[in-house]
Amino acid sequence: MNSVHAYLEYSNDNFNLCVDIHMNGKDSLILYGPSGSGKTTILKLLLGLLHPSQGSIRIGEQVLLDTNSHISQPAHQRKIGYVPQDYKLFPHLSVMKNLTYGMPRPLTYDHADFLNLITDTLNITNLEERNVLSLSGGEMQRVAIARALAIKPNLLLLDEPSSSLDLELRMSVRNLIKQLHEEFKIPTIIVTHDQQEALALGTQMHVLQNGEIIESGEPNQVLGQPEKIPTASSIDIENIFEATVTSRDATNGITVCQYHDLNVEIPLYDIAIGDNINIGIKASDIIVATEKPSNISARNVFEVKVTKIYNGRSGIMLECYAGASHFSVQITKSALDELAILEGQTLYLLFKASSCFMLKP
Amino acid sequence: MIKGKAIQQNPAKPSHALGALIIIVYVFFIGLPLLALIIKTASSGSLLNVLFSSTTLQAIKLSIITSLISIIIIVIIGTPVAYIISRSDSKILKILDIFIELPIILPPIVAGVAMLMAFGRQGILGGTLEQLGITIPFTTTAVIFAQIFVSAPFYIRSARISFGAIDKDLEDLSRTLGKSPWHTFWNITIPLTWTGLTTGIALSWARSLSEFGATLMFAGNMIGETQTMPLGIMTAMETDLNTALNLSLVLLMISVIILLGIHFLSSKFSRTRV
Repeated sequence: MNSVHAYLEYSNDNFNLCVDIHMNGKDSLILYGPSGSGKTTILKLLLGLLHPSQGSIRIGEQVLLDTNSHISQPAHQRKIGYVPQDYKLFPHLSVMKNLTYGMPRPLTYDHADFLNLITDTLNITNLEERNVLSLSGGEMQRVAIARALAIKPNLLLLDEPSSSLDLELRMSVRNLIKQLHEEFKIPTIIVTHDQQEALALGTQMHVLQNGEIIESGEPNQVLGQPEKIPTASSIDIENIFEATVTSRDATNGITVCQYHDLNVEIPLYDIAIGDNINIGIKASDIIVATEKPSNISARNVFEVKVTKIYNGRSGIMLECYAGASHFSVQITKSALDELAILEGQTLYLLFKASSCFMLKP
Repeated sequence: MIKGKAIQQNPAKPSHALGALIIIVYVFFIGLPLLALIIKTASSGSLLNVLFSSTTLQAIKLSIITSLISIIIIVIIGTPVAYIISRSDSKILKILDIFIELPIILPPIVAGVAMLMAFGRQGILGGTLEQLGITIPFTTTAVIFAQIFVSAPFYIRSARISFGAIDKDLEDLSRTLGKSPWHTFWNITIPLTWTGLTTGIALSWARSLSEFGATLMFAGNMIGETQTMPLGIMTAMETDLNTALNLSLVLLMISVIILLGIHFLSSKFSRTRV
């Protein structure tokens, strides 16, 4: 398996990009970020479809780009497989001709065998003679992936692989991509702004904002407890609030912070008493009770008033206040019905100290 | 009362009727002269005699050969020009694009005068060409020059619009699959723009065949050398209406054959590519 190293600087109008990417051959790297953060630009720079002002790209021992040495392999010599967001199948060619487009002509036995392996794995053998315009979204995507794999790429780039598919197809496509990654052992870069996709497919993750990598790590770490406020904002951490450190308990690993009138317990960080810090907690990490709980391990229990109940993207959202302190809480529809929660009602919010994390600016 | 009710129930009816009337008037306006040409030629009863006269045959042969050479040159030069303009953001090329289309609105006779001023004996390049032993005005080459000058913009415009309309990402994708820009151009760009290119060829070829003003001014009207069919028709109109009618019908038929032939090839090609 080839390692991938890329340093890319690129400017266009008011957009500046500067990223450093390192992957080992086993990695499936997620590029995560909002629209306009530079995700697809990075893919096009790697592919040779855009040209960086400064940069280098190395896959294994092969140097594809080195602006200092004036080396720049053209796109058609880079052997990087690319599956764009909207597949871009050639509309005037059959499925079979799309699949073999990048393969040498005439097909050798080796290539034919490899093609059979791909089409079997992707379950598209029955589509080979079809017109691409007659394919469904899921079929188009599998053909596009197969077409990219057929050139035996040294690196595979997938741009929003499941964004235009329905929920059920998304699951099967994610499983398929994982299976392909294990079977063909090609380092893969996946562009996405879908957290579930990042968690399902990534071994490493870069969060991008305005052309820069603002945070890196394993997807469950970055998406679960990010370190920086821009990352927390871009992954929709619902509760980010400023608090003042009032005490530190190194023995029990606890920091106590004052959030308006509430004392919130968070894990121990290297901070001083009196420091103002930002704390994050996901809405789905907060538990709701209609009566005051007792004898529980959760370090944070607050009485709040529900001011608003609405449908969120992943469940029911409750907006709650304890004085000036605000919390967004996510619960399921069945929990809402069972507990018969109404706007104006008093509730108790519970969360563990370890669910809270400190955010750097 | 009944009429009023009927109108209320189907308010679109009067506009349909008006639309149909306009179409009929237009078809009549275009169709009547063509029909008249066919009827009058048929009633003259001299089609074969005229068709096989040496003057007519020479005019037909010259028109077909010169227009064929013109369209080949237009496609060879016009295709890269149209492609480069469609893919460029250069302001100079955008201005050039407008300049290229100028001959479409320029009166052909002005085009002929302009070409004389460029390539004629008194023209800017005339002296140099004469020193090299090259004479262009009033030769068959001048016929081709005049045809290219007036008809190339029809092809370039159509090709440029077609190249601009296709999804450039498909060309990029072809390159990521290991195919050179040249391979991509022939295997992705050309097939996807085929309909537009053939339409441009048909328009441009038909315009070459019907070219008159610039040819007359720059190439003259010499039988067997520069007298194309349109010039032959004009000459015949002064002396022999039957010959003019027969030549006109032949020109009409050739134009229709080119138009239908290219559309047939275009649709057949589009179907067989899948």
